Amino acid sequence: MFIEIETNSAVPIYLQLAQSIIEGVAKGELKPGDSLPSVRAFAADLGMNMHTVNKAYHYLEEKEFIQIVQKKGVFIHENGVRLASPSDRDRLKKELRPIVAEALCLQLSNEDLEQLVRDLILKIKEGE
Amino acid sequence: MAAIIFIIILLFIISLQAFLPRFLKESEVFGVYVPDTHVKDVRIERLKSRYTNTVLTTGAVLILIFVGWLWVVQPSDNQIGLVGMALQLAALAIAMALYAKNHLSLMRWKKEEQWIAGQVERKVVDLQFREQLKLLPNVYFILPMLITIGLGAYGLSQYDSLPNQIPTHWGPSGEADAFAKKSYVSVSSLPLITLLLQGMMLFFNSAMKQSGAKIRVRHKKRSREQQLAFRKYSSWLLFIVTISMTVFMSYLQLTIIAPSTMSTGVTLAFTIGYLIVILGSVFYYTIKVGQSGTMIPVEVDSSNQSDDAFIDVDDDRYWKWGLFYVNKDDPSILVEKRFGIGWTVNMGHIKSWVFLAILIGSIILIVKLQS
Repeated sequence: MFIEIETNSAVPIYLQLAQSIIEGVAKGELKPGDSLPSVRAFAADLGMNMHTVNKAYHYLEEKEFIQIVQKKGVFIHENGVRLASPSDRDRLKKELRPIVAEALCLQLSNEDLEQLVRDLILKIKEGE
Repeated sequence: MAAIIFIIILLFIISLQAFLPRFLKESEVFGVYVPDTHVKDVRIERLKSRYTNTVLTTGAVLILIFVGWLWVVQPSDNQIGLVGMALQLAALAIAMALYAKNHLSLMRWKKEEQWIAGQVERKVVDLQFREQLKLLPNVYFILPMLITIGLGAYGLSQYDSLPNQIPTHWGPSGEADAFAKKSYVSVSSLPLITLLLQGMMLFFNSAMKQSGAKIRVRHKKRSREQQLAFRKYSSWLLFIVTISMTVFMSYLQLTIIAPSTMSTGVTLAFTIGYLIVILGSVFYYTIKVGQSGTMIPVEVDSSNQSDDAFIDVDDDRYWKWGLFYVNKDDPSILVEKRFGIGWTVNMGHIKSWVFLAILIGSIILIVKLQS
């Protein structure tokens, strides 16, 4: 699977990396148990510092999307695709909150917001 | 004889330099990154042809001067050697000067006309690249080293029965023409040098595994296939060089240990065979693979060309004069060359400097052992 990083974006690189991997899982291109490149190899392919990749991997590990096994490698977590636990729900709520607030400021109606989410789901699944 | 060899080498250097831009990526011209939006610029094409023509013409003039001088002066072999070397350096210097001029012009156009400004730069990574990468395992490079160590130990075990003069240099006819006094150093010098070269090949092969893949945003699939092939063929080339070097050096070491097996005819055959294998495989690699695998045909899947809004990341700032890669952040030790076919080291790493120090040290060592 190819991932693409915008080097001049306001979104930090580590977040772009983590988000592309989550999208890969959501799309089904990355399946639980699939291996990811080592930190060194990933950083070399990016031509960037290993800290950046480390940060992305720790971010994903915390969210239980990947599993870092010492000396063996990095894998998509067995629970990468799972039923959301109450804590998962809480976290999502918290992360969505500022975005919903922004949408309210922009006077998006409930229907607008629903349509937006539906569009995004379609796009993520089709990989656009 | 010496004159003919020098003319052949000169022809080889000149044509290699002249046609080099043809074997490189369209996105890297004279050491400058050219975005996809500008690769079709007619001025670039003109720059390339002018480079080829100028190198060929000045090269032809150099060879004519050389031949004329041979004709008129009838120089000795020593003089031919000296002038021949000077002409080789002159040919390289001319090519380098032209490179520098073109490099600067391109940099200026790119800056003044803002080729990058306003475009979105994207870096592409293939998560499965390493899984698909098929390099030869390092053990292929370690086994020949064991052979060399074995031969070195065997030479030392036969120390008492060895002649008092150890050959250190062989002339063009296959006959030893320089000798050193017998000592533990002179008996082991050939295996030591071989071991060093084999170690370098091993280093390259393992560093290639860690080298970053450069996938182009507008040609993802094609560039991935070419990169995979480029690395695979590079690994095989290293292996061929290692094996032929091991065979050649083993033969020479055996002739040192048991001079009775020495025959100038066999030595000559080995030398010529060695040269043919090395030059032949390098030639094949250049023509068939090209820089970054650009000469390898790949069937392109045109359904996946929706990314025409983006360009590759401009990494000119990491390339000093377009020739030396200096990037402290990038963990790659070995990177693909920009102007040339093959690989270069990342000067931003201490390891690369250690490697260069060993390389230069070993060259000095070889020269010292030979004199």
